[in-house]
Amino acid sequence: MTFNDNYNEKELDEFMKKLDKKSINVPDELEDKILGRINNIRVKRNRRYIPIKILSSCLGVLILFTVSVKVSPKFAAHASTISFLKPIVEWLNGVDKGVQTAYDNGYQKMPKVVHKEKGYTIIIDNIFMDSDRCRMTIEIKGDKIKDLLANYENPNIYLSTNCLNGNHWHSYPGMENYKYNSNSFIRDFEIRFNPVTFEQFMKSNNDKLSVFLSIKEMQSSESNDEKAIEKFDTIEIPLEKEHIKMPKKFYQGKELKFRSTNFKITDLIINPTRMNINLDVKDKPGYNFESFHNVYLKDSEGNIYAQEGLMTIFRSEGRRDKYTKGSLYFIPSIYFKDKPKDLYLCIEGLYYMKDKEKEVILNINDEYPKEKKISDQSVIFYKPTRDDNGNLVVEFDTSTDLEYLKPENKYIEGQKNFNSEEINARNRYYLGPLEGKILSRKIVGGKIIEGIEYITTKCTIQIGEKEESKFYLDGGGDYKGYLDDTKMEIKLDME
Amino acid sequence: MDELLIKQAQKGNKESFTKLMLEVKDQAYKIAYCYLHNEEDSVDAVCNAVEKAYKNIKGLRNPKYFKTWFIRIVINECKTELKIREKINNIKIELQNEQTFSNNTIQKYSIESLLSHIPETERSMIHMKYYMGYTLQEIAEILNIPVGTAKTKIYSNIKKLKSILNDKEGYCDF
Repeated sequence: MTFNDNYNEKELDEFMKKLDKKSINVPDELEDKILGRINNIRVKRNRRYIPIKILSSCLGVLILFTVSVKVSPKFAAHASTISFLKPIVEWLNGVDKGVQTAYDNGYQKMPKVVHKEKGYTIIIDNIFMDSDRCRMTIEIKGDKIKDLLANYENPNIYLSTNCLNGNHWHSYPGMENYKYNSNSFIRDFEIRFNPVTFEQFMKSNNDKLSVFLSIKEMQSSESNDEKAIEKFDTIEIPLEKEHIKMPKKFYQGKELKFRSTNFKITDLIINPTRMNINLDVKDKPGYNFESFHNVYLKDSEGNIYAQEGLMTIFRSEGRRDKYTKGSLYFIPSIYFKDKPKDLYLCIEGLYYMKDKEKEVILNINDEYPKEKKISDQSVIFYKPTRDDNGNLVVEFDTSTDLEYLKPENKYIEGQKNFNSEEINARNRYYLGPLEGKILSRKIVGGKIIEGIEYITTKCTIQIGEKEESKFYLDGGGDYKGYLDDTKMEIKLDME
Repeated sequence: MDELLIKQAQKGNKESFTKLMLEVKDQAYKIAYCYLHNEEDSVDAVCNAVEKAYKNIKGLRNPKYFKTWFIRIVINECKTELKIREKINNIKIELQNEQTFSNNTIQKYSIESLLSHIPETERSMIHMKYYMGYTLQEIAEILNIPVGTAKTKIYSNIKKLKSILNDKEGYCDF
C-alpha cells in the first residue's frame, strides 16, 4: 500500500490549515537562561588544585615507566601489547625497534647514498634490508626547501620504486616518521618485498634498488590532486648482497577455529629485522574478520614479542572475496638469538562484523537522507548525485566510528577521490597486494597512527551509466566490531 | 548558518558558540514545546541541549549540518524528559486505579486534545510541519528518518484525526 493510493496530500494540508492552532510563543527568559548556562559551563582544567603529592607520584610513575622501557626490552614488549601504551613505548624506543635490535646485533646497513640535483642535496641513509622489506631515511636539504615551505601548505616527499624486479613501479607518499625544519625534509620509508621477487633478485646479477623521488603538494580539502613541485632523476641504491641475511622459514600448517573465521597458520618467517606469521583467512558465510584482539609471540622463557605495525590482509578479488591471506609482524626478531625451546602464538580474541549489516546499496532515485544501522551505530546518507564525469558522489554523515565507505570490488589503493575536511590517518587493513607498498605512520594529535590514508565522509566513484552502486561500511577509530574473546595459545614448529 | 562561526565555536570560542545558540534558540524552543507542551520543561530541555552541544561541538564533522545536529540534541533531551514523565504517570495511573476514578463521560474535542492521542514523535512532526512551517525534507533530516517515512506518518495521522472528527461531527466545537 503506497502513500499515494490512500491519501490526498493537498486535501489533508487544507484540512490542517483550516484548524485553529495555538501558536507557540518563545518566552523572553529563554535567552537569559541560555546565556547563563553557557557562562556557567565548566571547562575541565583546574591545575591549581592538583596536590603536589599526586603530581610527584605521577612524575615518579612516568620516570619509572620510561626507564623500564629503555632498560628492559621484556618490559617494553609487554607494555606494547597494551593498546594505549603501544604508541608511548614506540615513541620512547624510536619507531622501529625491529631494525634497532638487528643493528644492535651487528646487522649491517647499506652504504649511504648522496645525490645532488637542482640545488637540492638528497641523502638516503639508514638503509636496512632483508627478505621482507627495505627501510630507509630520506633527507632532502637545500636553501630551496625554505621557499618551498613558504609557498606550499603541505609539501611532502613521494617515492616510487621498482621493488627489485625492475618491471613494476610503485609510488607512495612518505608519511612515516616525518620531520622538517626550515631547510630540510626528512622522511622514513619502508618498501615491502614479495618473497619470490626477493629470491629472484638475490640470484640475479642486479644489485641495485631504483628509486624515483619527487616533492608534491599533499592532498588538501579543496582538491584531491597531488601537485608535483619538484622531480628528481632516478637514484640507484647499491645493495651489498653479501650483507643481506636470508630468512629462516618454518612450515606450520596449523588450524585455528573461531566463531566467525577459520585460520591456517602457513609459516613462520624469521628475518633479521622482524618476524612474521603468514595465515590463510577464511570467513564463515555471513561473517567478516576484522582484527585480532591482542596478539603476540611468547617464548619458553616468557619473553614477549609484540605485534608491529599493521596486520596485512590480501584479498585476491576485492573486498568481498572470502578467501584471504594475511601476515602478522612481530618485533624484536629472535634471528640473532639462540633458538628458543618453544615459541607460541598467543591470541586473546578477535573482532568480526556481519556482512549484511555492512552492505549498503545507494540508488540515486531512492529517498534521502537514508539511514543505515550497524550494530548500535548509525550512518546517514545524503542524496547521491552524478557529476559531469558520470561519477556517483556520495556524502554521508556519522557521529560514530563507522566512517569508511568502500565501493564494492574496488581496492582502496588509488581511491584518491576520497576527500575530507580534515585529512586523517587510521589504522586499517591494506586491501590489495602489498608488494612494494609503503605503510604510513604519522603523528596526529600526539598519537602515532599507522595505516593507509583513505577516508571519509565524502566519496566519488565512477559508475558509468548505472544509477546505483553497492558499498560496504567499515569501522574506523575505536569501533572494531563484535568481540569473540576466545583465547588461543598455539605452539609453533621450529624445526 | 555561518560556517565560520561554527568552526570558531568548534575551536572553543564561547562568543561564537553563543551567537550560534541565539540564532537557533527560537526554533529549538518551539520543537521542544511540541514534545513537552510545557514552557518550563521546554526551556530546561533547550538549556540542557545547549550545554551538551558546547561539550560535543568538536565532534561535529560537517558544519553544514549544525542546525540539524543541534535540533537532534534538543529532541533527545525532550525524549529523556518524556521518559521521566512516563514513569511518574505510571505511578499516577496506579494510584488513580486504586481510587477507581472514572472521568471519561464527556470529552471536549479540540485539535490540541486530538493531537494528544498521537504518539509524541509523530505529534511533533505534525507540529513541525503545520505550526512551524518545516518542509518534509527538513523534518526527515532532523528526525533522522527517510522523507517517505515522515510523509506517511504525518498524513496517516492527519487522516486519522480527520476521520475522528467526521465521526464526532456535531459534538465538536471547532
